[in-house]
Amino acid sequence: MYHAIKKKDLQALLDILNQSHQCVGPLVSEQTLKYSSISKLSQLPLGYSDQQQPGEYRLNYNSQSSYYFSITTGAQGVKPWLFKPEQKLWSVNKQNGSIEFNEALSEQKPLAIVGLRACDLAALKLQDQHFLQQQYIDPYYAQHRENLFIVAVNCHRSVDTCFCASTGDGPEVKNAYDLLLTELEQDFVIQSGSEAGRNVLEILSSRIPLHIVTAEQEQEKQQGLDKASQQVRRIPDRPVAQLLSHRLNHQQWNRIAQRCLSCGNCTMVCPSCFCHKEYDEPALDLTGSTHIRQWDSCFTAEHSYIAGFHFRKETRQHYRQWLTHKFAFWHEQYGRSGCTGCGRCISWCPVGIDVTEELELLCQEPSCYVDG
Amino acid sequence: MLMDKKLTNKKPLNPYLPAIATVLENRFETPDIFTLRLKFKDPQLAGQYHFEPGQFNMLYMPGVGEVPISIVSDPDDIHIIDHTIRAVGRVTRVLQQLKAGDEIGIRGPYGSSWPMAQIKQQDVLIITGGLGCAPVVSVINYIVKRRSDFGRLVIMQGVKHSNDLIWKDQYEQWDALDNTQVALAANQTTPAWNWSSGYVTDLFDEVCFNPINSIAMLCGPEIMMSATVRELLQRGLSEAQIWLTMERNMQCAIGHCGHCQHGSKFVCKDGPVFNYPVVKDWFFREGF
Repeated sequence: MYHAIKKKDLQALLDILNQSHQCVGPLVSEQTLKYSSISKLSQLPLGYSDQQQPGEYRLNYNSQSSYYFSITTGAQGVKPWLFKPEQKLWSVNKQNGSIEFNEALSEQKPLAIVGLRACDLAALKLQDQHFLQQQYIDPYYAQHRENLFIVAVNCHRSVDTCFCASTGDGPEVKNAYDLLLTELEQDFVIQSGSEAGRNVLEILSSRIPLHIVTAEQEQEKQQGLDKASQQVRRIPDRPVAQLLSHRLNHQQWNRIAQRCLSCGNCTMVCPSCFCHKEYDEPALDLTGSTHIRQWDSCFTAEHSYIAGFHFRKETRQHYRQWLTHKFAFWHEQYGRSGCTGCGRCISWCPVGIDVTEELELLCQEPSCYVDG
Repeated sequence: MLMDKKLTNKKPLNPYLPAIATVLENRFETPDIFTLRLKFKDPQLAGQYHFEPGQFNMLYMPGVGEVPISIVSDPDDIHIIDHTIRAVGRVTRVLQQLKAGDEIGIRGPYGSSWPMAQIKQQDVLIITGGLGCAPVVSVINYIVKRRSDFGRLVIMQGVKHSNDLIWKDQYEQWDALDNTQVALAANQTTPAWNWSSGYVTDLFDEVCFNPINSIAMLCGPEIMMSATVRELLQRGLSEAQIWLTMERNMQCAIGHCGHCQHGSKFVCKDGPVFNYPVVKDWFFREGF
């Protein structure tokens, strides 16, 4: 059952969520979008939209616009809230020759995220698979994920770097949400996708009027989704995974390496990348130490380092590792590709390397590769 | 949306958190190789701990960091855990300084093990390169202790310089056992060396085994293992009869941190012991 609510009434939803959760939403910060704590509707970027190109990210403002959710994506999705860029894992104390470990896990207020897009929701499911559904459960990820309440938003526009339609992950949000919003010119269409969502919707109905969605509103919703589905970029409609794993000596890897700075930006903005390193921060008086994990990137030389040897020294090998992992090996690890088409790696690459274009060239027929 | 409840209704153990181990002994094998004998401080943990030959532990030196180290003691010896370590890196150089009574962190065991249960009554070829190959010492001891369960035992080891060989007496003892053969090769030798010279692959003409009913276990630099695989295939073993153990950067040991990925495999949890067909697509390929 869909309902429509007036735009101003979204405040009531924020109020309800903030009672039991820490509510975060897409706010403008440092000239991009950043999920930050939100309590007032007026904090949302009314009238702002984004413009993205390879190596380019711009926000535009239109004072006439009635839209709160016209910015498709910022540099980060929800990942930093669950898989933290830096996370204290445990600490150790030394006393009279004995040591003692202390787990750095504490009770957290449940998190509610408002405004999550289809591509980022799909990436969240990939992170769930990696951190929660294998042999070992990651308690640091789980503590934020367990009670996460998701208010997803359907995209009503796309930018030039979007390609979620070709990965099958968007622009329409189809599952894994508690509540789903679709923004129209005057209203939001709101629907629930879980029991928790239905409960919140019921509380909401006692505070604000929920209208039955009209045929016109339904049509407007569909038009927005259709518009967002018109995307200029796509991943090749070929067996990318097999082609890539058989083209490890393709000349295109060398051509990419001539442009790639090996800066690792693509991995830092990617909503599915999970690599992290662990390190110690010893106390100055040496009585103890804190063990920390921090996001890492396969574009660094240290990533493949063991006692005196780097398995991947060259930029060509870094980029190939990233791309083959994301588009080939991920299938064997998690049953699908590791890319959900958000396009961040294209926009935030300082030299504008376009992953869809590189895939096209690498997977092109007739092939010009020499395997060996 | 809430996660699938069935995954989280029991509070999971924190797989990142080490337990405390007490150093029972730190024995020097050579100036830079040492064997740490450890015991869990908590007797309950000691009782629960069980590993298979080929698996490893993460050892944590307070304030310095963690390293993956294979276990060389026997799985049936539940009171002690031995790790033979070469002091080559930031953490291992500090571990080398440990003394009896010191406490360190330990998590494990992790990873896959040698297929001991599947190879009863078969000939076992243990082929190693480099300095004393800790991940297979546990296998040799395991077989020696249960000698009648296995066929012929062939131990082949190559070292750069004859002086690099550790556990020299041990090899001589193994060589004297029934139905057991030891063949050693060194690239550079001293006059006292009474084994062969050359690479480990040069030893195949000296050893005797039944290729139809053999299993090979390889440990060493990948260039050495790659050459050995070629030799074994020529001598009639199938790819599935070959097992090897790999090394990669491992920081979490639970398949989360991503560093040890080799193609689609996480060396820490899918390995470190692999059946050759599982890794052959990327094995010894530059960049993997």
